[in-house]
Amino acid sequence: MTIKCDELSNDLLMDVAGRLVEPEVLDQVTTHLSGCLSCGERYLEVKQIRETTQIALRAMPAPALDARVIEVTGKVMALKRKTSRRRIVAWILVAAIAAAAVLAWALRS
Amino acid sequence: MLLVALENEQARAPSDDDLIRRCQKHEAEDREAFLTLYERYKGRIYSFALTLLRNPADAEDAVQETFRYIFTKLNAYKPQGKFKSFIFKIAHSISIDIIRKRGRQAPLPESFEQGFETAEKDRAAEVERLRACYARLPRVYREIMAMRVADELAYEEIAEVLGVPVGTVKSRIHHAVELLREMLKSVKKGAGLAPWEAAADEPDSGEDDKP
Repeated sequence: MTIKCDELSNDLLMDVAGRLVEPEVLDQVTTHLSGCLSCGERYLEVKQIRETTQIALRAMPAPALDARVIEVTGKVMALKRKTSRRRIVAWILVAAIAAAAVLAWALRS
Repeated sequence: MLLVALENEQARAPSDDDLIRRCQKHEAEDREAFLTLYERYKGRIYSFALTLLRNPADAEDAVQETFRYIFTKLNAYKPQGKFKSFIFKIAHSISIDIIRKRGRQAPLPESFEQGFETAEKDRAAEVERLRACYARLPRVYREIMAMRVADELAYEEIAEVLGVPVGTVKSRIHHAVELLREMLKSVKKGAGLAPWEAAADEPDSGEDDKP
């Protein structure tokens, strides 16, 4: 099966450049590229865009961000603990009131 | 020998879902597991946010908010091997929120250098040229190129992050590359990037941004 020029979309060419396609698709595209000058040129441009993009869009945040994230998640954790403690206290209170009610009812009858 | 050692180390490294399970099991008190996740993703999420927001301070805010959100909603996440698309989806939503709050995109930078790593000397000019093009590329194309090329997310993962069909992802990549090719040709001819400045500086429509 042969592949035609209009079937070679840029996304497919980029996948071919990154070797992210099935071997048989790779074979078909490579065969087409070796015999088609305009697609071959486009492939080289796409390949270069892909390779340069991988370098161009690389970034690392400043080390100070680590401290910010640790602080923020620490606050979330403290809030979670507080909420959890409140929930426990609320349950104890409900249980105590229920027990008192049962006791009062038992004493009256 | 070194390769074998590296492979062994990779095999030993816990998966994202293992780390999430550890966090969930210990009621989010397993700081080490969470920090391992943070170290694993902070650079990728920062690069992604910086590509969208074009401003290092905003990108750092987006990273902080992303991890705060994940830490808060840890128990709601079901480990199914999709943590990568989950974290990118959150980072994307938060970045879009920042853009909306800002009202307009940040003033168009001369190039895309601020916040990004310095390229090696032999490729510096080429990288700078491409960054100048990226600075003028509409946001929908910048984000898709960042996810597919820089982070190598699968089409299905990108579709999940953006909430669009896989076909749309492919066609956006096709158009993004076409635009970049045109821009690079224009730069090489010495015609500059003026025709693309207006489009890149437009406020985001938000049409396809619904999380």
